[in-house]
Amino acid sequence: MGSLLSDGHHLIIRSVTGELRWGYRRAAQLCDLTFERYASPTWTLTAKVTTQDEYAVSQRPLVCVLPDRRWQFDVLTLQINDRLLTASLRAQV
Amino acid sequence: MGRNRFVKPQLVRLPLSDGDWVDVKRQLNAGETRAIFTDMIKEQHAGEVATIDTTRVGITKLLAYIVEWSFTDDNGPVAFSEAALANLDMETFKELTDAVDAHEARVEQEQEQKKISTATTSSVTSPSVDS
Repeated sequence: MGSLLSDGHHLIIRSVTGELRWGYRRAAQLCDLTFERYASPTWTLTAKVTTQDEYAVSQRPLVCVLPDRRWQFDVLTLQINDRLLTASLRAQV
Repeated sequence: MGRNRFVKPQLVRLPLSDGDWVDVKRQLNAGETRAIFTDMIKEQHAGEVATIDTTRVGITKLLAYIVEWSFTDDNGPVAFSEAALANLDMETFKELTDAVDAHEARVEQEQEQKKISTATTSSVTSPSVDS
């Protein structure tokens, strides 16, 4: 389902599926997610958008959740262009 | 500026017997409310009365409201799902139905109260046309 790669400073998490949530509400279903982090605590996410609720996606705060809630990230910035999502995130502790 | 007419996704935890709980949506939005009825329809043809799937009566409201629960079985926590709901004992199903109905009635009552107090406040504070 997911994988974690690291060379010390550069972390990559991949997941086949995931979603954006506004509260309990699903704002978008995502696939092919790649999370990358260098030295800073901020992660960069790229993913494909499978389905989205236009209204919920425009709301804040949004949380990015991986299956079984093993990883959860606060969404800091978000862009969706032509079903391709790019976001900056902060991992929830 | 007008009032915010959109439903914010807020959860309410309802206590159940034996220390269990269920997290429900405080208020359904229009799409979720309509789905309670449309998800019960088995067949519908233009100009004819819709046929209701009686096995879904009562279940669609619980599916619309419930987000999470504390229920466990012999293997540990059981995630909320339609299948899990259908496998509950009837006593628990009724307890859930009663809890959700009571929650819905409470929120409707709160909203009515809010409307009345807003109307009272605005009639007191709004200047008359003459003034």
